Amino acid sequence: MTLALCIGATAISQKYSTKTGEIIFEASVPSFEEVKAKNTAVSAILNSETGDFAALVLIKGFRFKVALMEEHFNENYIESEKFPKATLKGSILNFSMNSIQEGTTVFMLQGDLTLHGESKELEIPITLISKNGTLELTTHFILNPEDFNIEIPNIVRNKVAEKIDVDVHLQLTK
Amino acid sequence: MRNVKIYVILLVLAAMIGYFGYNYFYQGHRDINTEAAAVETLALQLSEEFKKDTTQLLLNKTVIVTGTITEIDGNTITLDNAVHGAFDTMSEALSVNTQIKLKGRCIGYDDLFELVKLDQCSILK
Repeated sequence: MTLALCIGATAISQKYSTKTGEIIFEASVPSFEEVKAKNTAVSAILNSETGDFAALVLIKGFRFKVALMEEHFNENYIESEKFPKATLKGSILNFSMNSIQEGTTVFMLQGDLTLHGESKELEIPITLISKNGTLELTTHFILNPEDFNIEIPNIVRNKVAEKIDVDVHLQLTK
Repeated sequence: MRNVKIYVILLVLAAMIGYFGYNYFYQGHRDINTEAAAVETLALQLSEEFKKDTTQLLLNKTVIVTGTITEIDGNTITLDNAVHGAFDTMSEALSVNTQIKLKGRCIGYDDLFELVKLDQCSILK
């Protein structure tokens, strides 16, 4: 019993997590209204023993500068009533806490990204920095809305970029 | 004379289209703080609702929840380990173990941490 408790406790202590991670995406086209949104309530867990990684973002939490754009994003493009969240489940390849301490900061993250009810395998470089007991994870990647069955109507086609820039910043603590 | 009249009418029409068009495109954001709440409940009860997967009924709605603060992290707080609320700006000093009434917009259920998430929160007296 005691042993089980101890194992439970160590398992927990191997987890770095956040509930307030940040994702910014941008699909702006020069000289048109900025298409950009920010979400600061991203949840993520990293198991520092195995490199397993999971992240979840609630779509309704994306905030735009223009309220109407936010409404259209939710109702017409990403359909957040039907698909309220996006998730990423995977693992960091060749991950070990030692290699971070030894100065390696760039890793590959491999996993399944689920968005708008569609899943796609993803392999993206991430940067990990260990600072005062926290792990700072940053990454930038590009998404193609078509891969997730998200249609951009012709009428706004020239005002929304075809590729979407995604920036992620997570401050993972034990 | 007739021409002038037509021009004036066209000008007024154009101005109206411009005015209403602008207001439509740049309409204001919702103000959760002053909006009437759709539901008033306990933090634990709200998360039970979400576990039953009746999400759609509460998603994007303004809710008021009562609970005890179990965690404070930056400008976010957790009530009864069940509801996570984010403030745009946290105006008052809060402390763990105090009971509060929180108003915010429900953005969904986080099944990684098993928390209902709210944003644009404010504290009710």
